[in-house]
Amino acid sequence: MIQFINSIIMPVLDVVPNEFYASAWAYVGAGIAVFTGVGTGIGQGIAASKAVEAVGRQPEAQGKIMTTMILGQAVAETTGLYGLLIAFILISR
Amino acid sequence: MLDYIMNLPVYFWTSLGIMALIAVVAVVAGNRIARLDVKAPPTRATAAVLSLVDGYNGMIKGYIGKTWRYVAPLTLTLAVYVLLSNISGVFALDTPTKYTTVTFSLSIASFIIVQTTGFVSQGFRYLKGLFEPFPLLFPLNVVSELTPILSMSLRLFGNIASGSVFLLLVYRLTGWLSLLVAPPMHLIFDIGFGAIQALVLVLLTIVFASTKVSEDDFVEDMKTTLPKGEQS
Repeated sequence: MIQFINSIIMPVLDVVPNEFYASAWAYVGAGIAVFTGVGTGIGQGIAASKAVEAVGRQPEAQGKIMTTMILGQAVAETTGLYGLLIAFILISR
Repeated sequence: MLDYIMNLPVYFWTSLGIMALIAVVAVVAGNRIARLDVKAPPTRATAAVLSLVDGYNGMIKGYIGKTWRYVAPLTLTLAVYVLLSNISGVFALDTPTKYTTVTFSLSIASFIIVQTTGFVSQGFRYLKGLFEPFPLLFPLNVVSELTPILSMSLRLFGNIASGSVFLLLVYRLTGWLSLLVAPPMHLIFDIGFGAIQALVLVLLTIVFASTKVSEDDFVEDMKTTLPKGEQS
């Protein structure tokens, strides 16, 4: 599979397979892995917008809504952090 | 042996220093409060510690019913330790929670708190809850109990490590201008994110523990404590 991809990419980009070739693709992979943050951002934005609506409807419950929102956002953040972790691992290769 | 101790990493000594600070402050404050006079008004620091512990106990009582006395001291210690070690980057120390060894041990501590809360509240009936819908689901239940160890430790590690990497980038990018740029960044990434992550770790521990408490336990406690709460 990797040889097949290389056989397509190498003539097009005119690259030489020296010792930096693998680490270059590791950096590209790190960049792709950080794209998990897109879903995390959308999820956190939805949680924040719903919290704003809830505070507008019920201003006296602001403290409880804030705590619940932060808790939900932190749980949603975990998937983005997995992508960040993989990016760290790929960068240190 | 001495060679091993001298070669320990820096964040280990930071962590030990924070633990020593917490221990000294806790012992001194406990001693002051134990010898508190009824007639004399408490000093401002003593009153602050008293109101912190009292408010925290009240929060725990809302989540966990009868067994709050078991959960409250453990989680408050966890909260103070995680908060101080997240903030310690401001004092030019090596942040302990930036490393996965520390965060994994913290989340294992939180796992132990959650599981023993189930045993304290329900006794050995708690083990029957693992076979709850039908016995075939036992492996899945065990896995769902164990995965919070991984997710909690990686959440804390990811937030603090990404903040420190970002601060490193800011220092490299701005050069001598970092004297102006870095302090607000420290305020956001060390103090703000550190406080939020400490809150999240402890609050998740409490919420997970509150799912282990048996239901009738909680209802009885609400009946007995609510009239007192309304009076005060």
